[in-house]
Amino acid sequence: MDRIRSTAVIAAACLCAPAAVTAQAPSEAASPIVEIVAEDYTLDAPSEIPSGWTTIRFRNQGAEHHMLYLARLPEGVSFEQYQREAQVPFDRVWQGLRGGTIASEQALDALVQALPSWYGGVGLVGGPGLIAAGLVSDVTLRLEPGEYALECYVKNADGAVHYMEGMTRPLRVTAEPSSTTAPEADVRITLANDGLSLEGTPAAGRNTIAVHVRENPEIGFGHSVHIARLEPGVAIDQVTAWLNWLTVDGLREDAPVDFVGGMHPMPAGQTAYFTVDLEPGRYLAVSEATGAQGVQQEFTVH
Amino acid sequence: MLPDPRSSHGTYAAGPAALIALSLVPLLASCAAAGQTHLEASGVAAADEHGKAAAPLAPPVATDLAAAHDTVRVRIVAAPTRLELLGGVETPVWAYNGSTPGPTLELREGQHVVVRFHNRLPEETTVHWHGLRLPVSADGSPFDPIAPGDSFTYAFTVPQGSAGTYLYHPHPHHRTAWQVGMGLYGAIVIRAEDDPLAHLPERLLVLHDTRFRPDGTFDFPPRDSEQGRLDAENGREGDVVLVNGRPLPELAIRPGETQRWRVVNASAARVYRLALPGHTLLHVGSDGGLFERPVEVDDIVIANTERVELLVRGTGAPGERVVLRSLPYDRYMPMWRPADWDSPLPLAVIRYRAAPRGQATPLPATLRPVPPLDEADAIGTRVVRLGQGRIDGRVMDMERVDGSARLGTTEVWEVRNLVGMDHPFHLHGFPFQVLSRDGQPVAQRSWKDTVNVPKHSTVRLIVRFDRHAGLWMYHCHILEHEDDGMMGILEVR
Repeated sequence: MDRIRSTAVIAAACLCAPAAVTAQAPSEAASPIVEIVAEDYTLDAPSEIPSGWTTIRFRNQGAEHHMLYLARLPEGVSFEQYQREAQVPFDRVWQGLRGGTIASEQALDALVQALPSWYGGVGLVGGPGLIAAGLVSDVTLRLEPGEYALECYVKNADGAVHYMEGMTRPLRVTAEPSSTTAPEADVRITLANDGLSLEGTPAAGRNTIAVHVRENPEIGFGHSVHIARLEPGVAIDQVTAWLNWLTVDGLREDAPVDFVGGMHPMPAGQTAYFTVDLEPGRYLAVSEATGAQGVQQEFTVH
Repeated sequence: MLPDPRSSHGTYAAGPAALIALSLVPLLASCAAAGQTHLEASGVAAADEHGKAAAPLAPPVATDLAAAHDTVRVRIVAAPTRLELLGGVETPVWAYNGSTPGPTLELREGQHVVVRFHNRLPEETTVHWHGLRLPVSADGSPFDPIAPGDSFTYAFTVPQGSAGTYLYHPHPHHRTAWQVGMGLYGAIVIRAEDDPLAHLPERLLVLHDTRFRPDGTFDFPPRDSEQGRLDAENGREGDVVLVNGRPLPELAIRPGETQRWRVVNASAARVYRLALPGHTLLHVGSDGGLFERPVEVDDIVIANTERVELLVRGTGAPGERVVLRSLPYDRYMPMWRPADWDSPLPLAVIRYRAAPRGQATPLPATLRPVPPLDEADAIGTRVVRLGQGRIDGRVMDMERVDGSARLGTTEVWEVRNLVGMDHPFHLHGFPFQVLSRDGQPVAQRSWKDTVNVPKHSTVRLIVRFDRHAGLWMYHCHILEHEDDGMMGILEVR
């Protein structure tokens, strides 16, 4: 079974020109950083990792935006079952939307009816948010032992959902404890039903951001945060509209802005961390599902 | 009960495929009582008294036009024609020398081979000699298309040590699936002077699955249809499996006899899991020829363009019939898995002749040495990442070289399948040995040119870049995937 590869070996394999030969190296002790590389449309990841605090170095080596959504599967539900009974219904509703057989306002209901009863037991644990091509983000989160599904649900320009094109795989989190600890944060984001608050001043360069979920909506998807770099001529409404997956153009390349990192939904009371490299300019921290309802905050990096 | 040769593949089992059941089932049933006469008259050939597959079941052998023993000179013409594949209806096909499969090239180690090829198709094509070690100028890759009406001479020498079973097929960029699907494929048998199994009666079985429309034409649905999308994801599969161009042929064996079967998977994508109920099989060879030792197995997996050699021992009783079948094999992503993927597929009916009983044949415990490629000689490890339709995140660009290797060096390749369906990985020009699967060493060495990499798994192989420099292809051999660009170019210099 695949174990965590040493960071050096993975880095050499991934950063060299494709199909380059790397010199034979002796095996190295497992690093606490879990390298996961996204390409169009694959996730290169180990098959099992230890539990506890875990730092995922999520590297986008593709040409499109990618994310890493982690779903902790309910007891007794296999990854294959998740693919058949959860991923496929999402895709079917999406295909109905784009084909015009499902109206946008009916999409959520159609989804709820298509998903199996066990889907309510899927654990959301955070995970690397949207990052543009060429970027990398370190995400530190707590993982309990269990079986997980990893996926990217961005759509390409042709409308194919990335996980339907292969960008999904299983991950086992073992009972073996990791040696990772939570990092110190430069900035703190708190997500709540009344909005997104930002404490601290994001600076140019690398920032470590703590994301704390104070509460989630009673119904629907939970709060998340994705950091978008705002360019002149792009309205915030365009960004929040683009983040609605249940629309024809939702999360479908080409995105109106570049996203530089973020965190997927977590249960209320949890905190996780992600790094983001910021250049001077305007940014929007926005929740995917609830950004249009005001869970967002614009900020400027000087 | 004799099998209905149609699978339950849904919409494609109607029409001409139904003729298979109508024409063959009562025929075979009547012959159980009457002996072989009807079968022979129908052209569904039984074996002759030596146990060798008699014409017309075996593909024709290419006529050698050379006078010298050390040279083989053949003429191959690719042209449209019409053939009766199902019985009672003609199907427009593209064929090598008028047959599908095309004529078998019978070669010997050390021979110089000259193939004069004529393209009478309405589009460009190539002929790729799958698995053979030859100069890149003779490889028949997408770099060297032959225009309609043109001719080309492929010339190469068969290296010593390359005895095995191979195949040839078109390899034009973006059109391989279509041209193979229309019937262009054939087998190559390379023999060694010291073949330890030369005394055994031999069969060549070329497997190719397809789909027919009710009018008898091949079914190629539009790309944007539901079936077209499925074909693009999975590779085109069909509910009719042709064995040497015939559906559900009957093969004869004598009680006590041992036959040597060379099986070629010439399908676009289907993986076969060969099994013969009530019998174990001796797996004696793969793509590049014999193993060192026979291995007794219950079934054998043969992925797209792989070949296997196996020994079938006639342990049944006179008159008994056994169906060679393909057991279910799950190579699919769950979201694209066909509804009837887990139905066994009948391939051929094995009929035990009444008499005479076959002579017990001693089998060698050792077949032939397979010299190892030494990992200590490898200059490094090349990681190749397979996605769905891409390699290392990219689709092939004929103008782009994706990697380079030095002639005379040995490399370890780590082929990592990052997605949830199997991909058969093929490297042109340089045979390799599989070292391990998901970290587990393989049981014994063999020469391969194609290796199935199951979903979310890793295969490590070792290859030596000897003999021939040039631009060589590596790719997934699901034909639709290679047509869509799941290929890369390796420059060896």
